[in-house]
Amino acid sequence: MQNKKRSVFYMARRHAVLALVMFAAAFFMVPFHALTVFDTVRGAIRAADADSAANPYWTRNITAMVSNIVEAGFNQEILTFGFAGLGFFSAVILFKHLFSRKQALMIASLPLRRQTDFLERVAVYFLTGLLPAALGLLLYPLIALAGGLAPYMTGKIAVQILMLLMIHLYGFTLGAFCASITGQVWACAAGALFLGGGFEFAANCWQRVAWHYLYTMPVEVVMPIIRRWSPAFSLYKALRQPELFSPLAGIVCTAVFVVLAYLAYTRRAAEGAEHPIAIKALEMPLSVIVSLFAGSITGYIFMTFFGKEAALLIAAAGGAVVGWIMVQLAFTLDFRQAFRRLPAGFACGVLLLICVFGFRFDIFGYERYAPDPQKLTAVTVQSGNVMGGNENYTLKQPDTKAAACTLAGMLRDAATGRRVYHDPVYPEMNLTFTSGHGEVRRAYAGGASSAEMHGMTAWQAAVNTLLNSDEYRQGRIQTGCLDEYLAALDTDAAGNIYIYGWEQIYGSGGNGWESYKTASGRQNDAFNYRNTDQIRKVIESLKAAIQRRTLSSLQQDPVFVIHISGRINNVYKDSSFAVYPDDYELLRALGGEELIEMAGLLSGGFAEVTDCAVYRVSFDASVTDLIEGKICSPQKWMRASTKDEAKEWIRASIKTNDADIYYYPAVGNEEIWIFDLNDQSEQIPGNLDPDTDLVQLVMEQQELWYWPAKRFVSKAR
Amino acid sequence: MIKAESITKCFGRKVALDRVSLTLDDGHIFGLVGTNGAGKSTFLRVLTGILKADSGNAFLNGQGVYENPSAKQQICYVSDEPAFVTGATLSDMDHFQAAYYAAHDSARLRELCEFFSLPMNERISSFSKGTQKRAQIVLALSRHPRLLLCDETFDGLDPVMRESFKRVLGEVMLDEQMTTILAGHSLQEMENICDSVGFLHEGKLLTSGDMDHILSRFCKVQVVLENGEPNALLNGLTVISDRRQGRLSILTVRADEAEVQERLKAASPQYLEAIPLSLEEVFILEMEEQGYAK
Amino acid sequence: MFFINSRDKTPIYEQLCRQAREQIALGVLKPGEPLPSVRSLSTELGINPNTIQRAYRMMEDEGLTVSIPGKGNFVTEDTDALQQDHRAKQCETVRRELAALKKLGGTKSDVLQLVDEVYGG
Repeated sequence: MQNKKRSVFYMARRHAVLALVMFAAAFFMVPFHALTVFDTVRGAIRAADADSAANPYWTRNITAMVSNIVEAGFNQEILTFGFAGLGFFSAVILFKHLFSRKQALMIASLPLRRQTDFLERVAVYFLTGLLPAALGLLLYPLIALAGGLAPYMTGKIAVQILMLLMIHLYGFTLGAFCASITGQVWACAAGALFLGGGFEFAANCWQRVAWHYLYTMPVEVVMPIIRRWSPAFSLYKALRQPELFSPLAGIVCTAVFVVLAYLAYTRRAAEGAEHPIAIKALEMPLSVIVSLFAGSITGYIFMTFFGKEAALLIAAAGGAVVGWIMVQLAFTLDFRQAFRRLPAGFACGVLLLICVFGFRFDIFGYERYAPDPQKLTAVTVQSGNVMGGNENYTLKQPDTKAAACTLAGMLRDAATGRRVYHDPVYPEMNLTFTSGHGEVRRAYAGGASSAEMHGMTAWQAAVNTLLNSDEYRQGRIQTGCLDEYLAALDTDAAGNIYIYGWEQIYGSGGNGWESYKTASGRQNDAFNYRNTDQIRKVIESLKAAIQRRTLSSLQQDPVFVIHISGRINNVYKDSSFAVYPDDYELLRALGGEELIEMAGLLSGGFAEVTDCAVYRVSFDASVTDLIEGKICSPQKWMRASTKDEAKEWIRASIKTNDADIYYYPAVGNEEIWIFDLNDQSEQIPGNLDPDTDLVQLVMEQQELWYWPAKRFVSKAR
Repeated sequence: MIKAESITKCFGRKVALDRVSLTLDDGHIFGLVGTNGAGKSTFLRVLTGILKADSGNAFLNGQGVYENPSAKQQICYVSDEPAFVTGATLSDMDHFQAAYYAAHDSARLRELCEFFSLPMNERISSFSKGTQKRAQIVLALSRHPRLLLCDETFDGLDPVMRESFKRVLGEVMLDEQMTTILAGHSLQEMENICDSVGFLHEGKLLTSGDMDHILSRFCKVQVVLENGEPNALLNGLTVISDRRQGRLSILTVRADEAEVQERLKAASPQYLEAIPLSLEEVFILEMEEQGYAK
Repeated sequence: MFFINSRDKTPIYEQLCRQAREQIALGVLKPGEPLPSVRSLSTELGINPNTIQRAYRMMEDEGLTVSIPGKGNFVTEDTDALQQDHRAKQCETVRRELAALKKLGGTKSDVLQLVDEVYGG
């Protein structure tokens, strides 16, 4: 044992420079960078007056800046890659004898068991790699303390420091494993890149191939899997938000790498140094892996670049074969040898082609799946909502389950033959079906145009069933954490929950939130309730409003959006809710009668009290064209004769951009054009004759095309 | 006692060692002679526990060598390619060896450095090749190993250094009962210094044994017979070569010298003289028999 | 005292033994004289100590020396017998050479002339 300690400390002394580098790197990436941030923070603290100091949001901001290393240091990507890179670098330094034949043989002659040697190197890593980095990082809280920022420091700092060290360790074990199975530095680095992110990358490529063929596949199939299972990704996410993301995958992976590195190091032949792969038995499996990987990447690149199926097939097979040959070349350094094992390379290419065809011919029947509502225990719906986020709710009742299955069928039929992703005109709806054995079947994605969906009565009927269900309403309340906020209000100070509003309709300036703010004398967008009672009242009326709304309420344009955020069990949560003109109680709770009146104004009532001209304009283009924003010319138009009529027209219309929301009503090929006659913008001609045909004017003068606020007219009302 | 039991080692498809077996008693010097690429270095590395034999084992005093730190403590391999810790001086190497080898003797190292006039605080990588070899030897001996394996070490030393080395070696052998294996091509030196010798060719150990025994496997005689053919008298023995210069026959026979002389004397030769063969000549004869480059 | 002739192809231990024999016969090595230790001889000549051990054993076998455990090797006290023995061997050599001379055609008077030269008178 005495001898072992001596050799560990000897090796540690030899790597003193490494320790210095680690310390300096950690220091420059975090505490040093934070110095400037702390300066700003201290300046803000000094400049703060009683008002801001009492504002809990201000405190929270400062705390967020001080207690989040990712905010105060370099950004999340640089920190993740940087620390992983430092760990990898340590591994290469500590195992560099594996890359030189002379050194490898010399180390092999030492009176040291392989396992002891390995453990000693790991110990030296802790001494000269991890410990100095930790010390460098610890300067961060020390500097913060020295700067008098103690009140703004939370335990998150410690957690994030641990996360950075964990990332460092991950990089090291990855490097140790790759070094143990290779004998050349480039092979080691290539291996590390592949193991670090290669699978995720290849999975993404195959995701896109799948999308190319499976029209009902949701946008995010691979990403959630990556988020949960990818070690590197889990560490990356957990660094910034350790309270939300678990680094478990990363930790497990690190442990696995250590074990694998140990096994490889103890079994490796000393003469393996200076060969790309040191363990002969691994050459075949690695060749296969690289070949498949190369084919996947090339296939994806060619498919994206050329957009043709032929390109994908040729590139995938070709990439596999070329990748195979190159790997063999790297192993044997002999041209002829590289070609001798070619049949296996062809086999890899064929395997990739089989995978592509598997998607093409949908051999697993992904697209043909027709859910049977009676056999399902639940259907989970995830779809777009007014604020651009997602609504999530679970259906267990027979009628809602049946409606969901109907929708699924219609989505599937409409999507056949269409390639659609990430196009805002086409709504996205994911349905996940759970059967009796707890088995989760696939999710569906939308792929038809909203116009088509809106036109189908069957679609509307099914959507109506869903949106009128208690499950939908409960789902909104649950995802919005409203009950939790109410419970938290009993224990926490009111300062913990914030309600924001912002304008939603009619663009900036003139009408809208800004005018309400001016009228009510509010300074900022926060309702800024100090009073627990007030907040409670708002949340309770919101709950009531959600539970009372029907499809027709949801089909109005919201007046504005409120944003509720707070800490529940020390976890930060936030959610947004639209407020509709019909939600009188909620409006009253938020701003009294004054706000109800303002809502009425905002949703069309302003036509009665302001100077505006309202036209109904019809086009000969289809609804689809209009929704997709194709350029069309007005055919006929008429002006509202009375202010009442104008108000009605406006109330009966919805915003173009939101036409893709799945519960919006069927729309027609008419638009409402509203001209603010008091508009002072430069391009708008002043002193117009009140009877001027403004639509005609807009058509003649292209620069006026942006003057009117446009709307679709809803047909079914 | 050092024992190699049927050691086989392959690198890919190339067979470097083919069932090599050897037993050596303590306190002897064994010479491992081989053609280029015969497998000498590989064999020594297997004995040191650097390489793992594909089959067969190497033993030091009954203990297996591979992955056996206590055995490896006692074995020192002086490689044909000098390998030191990167950028180290002899002083650094002193610390290095002290960290890993219980028997390392810093005082002895300093003593030997003086004896061989080696600077302790200059980078070894800046030394000439021959000086590096000296450094290797000095580091090896300061570990007081039980088994010293020298791979072409003699070949790299100048004659003066060679003498010094031999003297030190002799001392150490007496004091510490050290066993030495010298591998190389410098057969003249080996003949003088080795107790026993072995010939390695293409991975196979063709023959091994005491120096005398090896040398006596062949003999060379010059004979003049009045009548009769010398070959006839040597019936049954393998005559390697038979040169004539007039009536003088120079015969090389794979047989004991005494036997050959006896047979030839029976014919009352006019002239008969035995020419002793050197190790080099014996080695070349063995190789020629194996068909290795004439 | 001893030296190695590197050009001589006879084994080293034989050379040493022969030199010991000659030196004792010539009286260069006195009876009971201690021989150099294995160590010093190996250091001086730069040869394998085992070789020297072997030479000393060979000398002992021939009766040239005796080894006393703990003290080393010494020339035998009984050098007279050895010298006599050596003389006998030398006579044998002379007889053989005379026979060879006779074969070559040398005469008795040639030989007696030689005797006179060597022994005088």
